[in-house]
Parts: sequence; C-alpha cells; structure tokens
Amino acid sequence: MVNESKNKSDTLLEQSQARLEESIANIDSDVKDKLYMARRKAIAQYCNNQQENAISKRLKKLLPITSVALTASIVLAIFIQAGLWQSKDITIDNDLELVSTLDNIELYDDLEFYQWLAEEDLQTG
Amino acid sequence: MPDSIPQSIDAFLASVELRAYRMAYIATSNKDDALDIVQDAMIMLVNKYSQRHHSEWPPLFYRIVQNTIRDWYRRTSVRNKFRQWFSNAESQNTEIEQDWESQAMSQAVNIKKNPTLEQNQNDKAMVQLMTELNHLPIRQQQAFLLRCWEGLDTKQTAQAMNISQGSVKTHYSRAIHALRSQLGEHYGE
Repeated sequence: MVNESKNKSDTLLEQSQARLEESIANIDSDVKDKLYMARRKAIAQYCNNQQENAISKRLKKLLPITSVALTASIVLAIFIQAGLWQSKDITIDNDLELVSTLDNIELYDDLEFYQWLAEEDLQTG
Repeated sequence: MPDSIPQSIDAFLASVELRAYRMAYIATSNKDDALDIVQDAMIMLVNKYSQRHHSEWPPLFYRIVQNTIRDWYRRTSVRNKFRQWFSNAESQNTEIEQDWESQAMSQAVNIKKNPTLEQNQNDKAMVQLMTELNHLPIRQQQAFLLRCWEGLDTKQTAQAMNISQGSVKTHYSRAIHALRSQLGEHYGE
C-alpha cells in the first residue's frame, strides 16, 4: 500500500517535472529578450556599485594619510607664519637700537682702529 | 536546479532566469508582473548577495523570488478586496477569472497551432498542471516547485521559504495530495 502510493507520487512528480521543463522550452523569444535585458540591468547596477565601493574604499584608505598630511601642513604653516613675524620683530628691534644708539655709530667709525687693537693683542698675548 | 552552480553571477542568473520566470508566471498568471518579479529578484541578489559564495546563491535567489511573489500576492489581494467591495457581481467574476486563468496558462506555454495528437495531449497536460499549480495556496505552490522542480532539499527549501523544515514537509505533502486529486492518478500517461 505504501509502495503503491509512493509509485503514484513518483509518477506525478516525474510527469510534472517533464511538463515544467517543456514549458521552459516553450517560453517565447519576447520574454527571453526581456529577461536578458533584466539580467543586463542587474549586472550593470552591480558594476556601478562595485566602482562606487572601490572609490569609497580608496578614499577610506587615503583618509588617515590625507588628514595627517593636512594637519602637518597646517601646523607647519602656523610655525612658519609665527617665525616670520618673530624674525620681522627682531630686525625692527635691532634697527631701532642701531639707529637710536650714538655710541655704536662711533664704534663703526673707528672700526679700523679696533681691528688693529685686536691684532696687537693677539700678537702680544 | 543545475548540477553545477555557475561561478559568475551573470552565468548563474542566466541559468535560473527562465525557471524563475515560469515560477512567477504560475503564481501571477501575468507576463509583465512575472518579468518584474524576476528583474527585482535579480537586482536584489546582485546588490546584496553577489559577494557570497556561489553555492549560496540558489537558495538566496529563490528566497528573494518567493518573497517578491508573496509581496505581489499581498498587494493583489488588497486590490481585489477593493474591487470586490465596489463590484456586486462576484459569482460572474469568478467564472470569468477561471476562464481567463486557463487562457493565460495556454498563452504562457505558447501552444502551437495545428499540433499533432501527442503534442496536443502534452500541451493539454501542461496547461492542466499550470492551472492546478496556480490554484494551489501560495505556500504549497512554492514548496512543490522548489522541491520537485528546482530540486532543493528540505533544508534549502525551508531556507528559501523562510519557514521550518517541518512546515516545508507539510506544504509539500499537501501540494502533492491536492495535485494528485485534481490531475488524477495517472496524470500525463
């Protein structure tokens, strides 16, 4: 009884499979074309997603390097800027000192005398 | 299901698209809806699961197809309820719908004009099967097609239908019982 039922079931399944396979073979070309187009559309979307992912991955990889480089350049720019201001201040101060001190100007006038004096010291000493 | 699963997503989709279309057509009896279901399933598989190992694609793809078909059923049933609400001639509509389903299935299997006797019998058996499958409850229809036609085992079918293996067995057994009673003991012989 069980075997008989199983055989009937097997026949039904085999017949159904065969009919379904036949139905596949009979699908018209219009539907096949549309399915092909649908597949192409899906694959095109996949390719676009892949490209977008690749770009975002590259950006993610470059992000730490870029941020470090950017920070470093900002810090460097600040230091250079500060250094320039400082050196400008020094030169202005020095100039002011030179201009304002009369003694130093006299010193420059007797420069040859002081140079001779130093050479004498070296020879004797 | 093919013996070996293609390793590229394009080849895999090419190998399953006709079966998926036929499944969707049996469920919807509508060419455009069936095409939309297959296209949506393809796009979703490609976008979400193309990175998975190719051996995982068949159950995933059929799961997407079955989910999309169920969504279609939900939408259609809501639409039909509205239609019924506005229409009074329900009994007339049922007869028209049954006739239309049979015609739709005949068109679906692309029956040839002036067939031979054997071809004619085959065509009739095919239409009969399609119509009866279309009349099955959606879960039974899915279980039958995935198990019998796609060759998925109980576990894979459960995965594709998102139900337990026990439920798959129940739906499958009921589907076979219903088909046998509708198509006869010696169907297609």
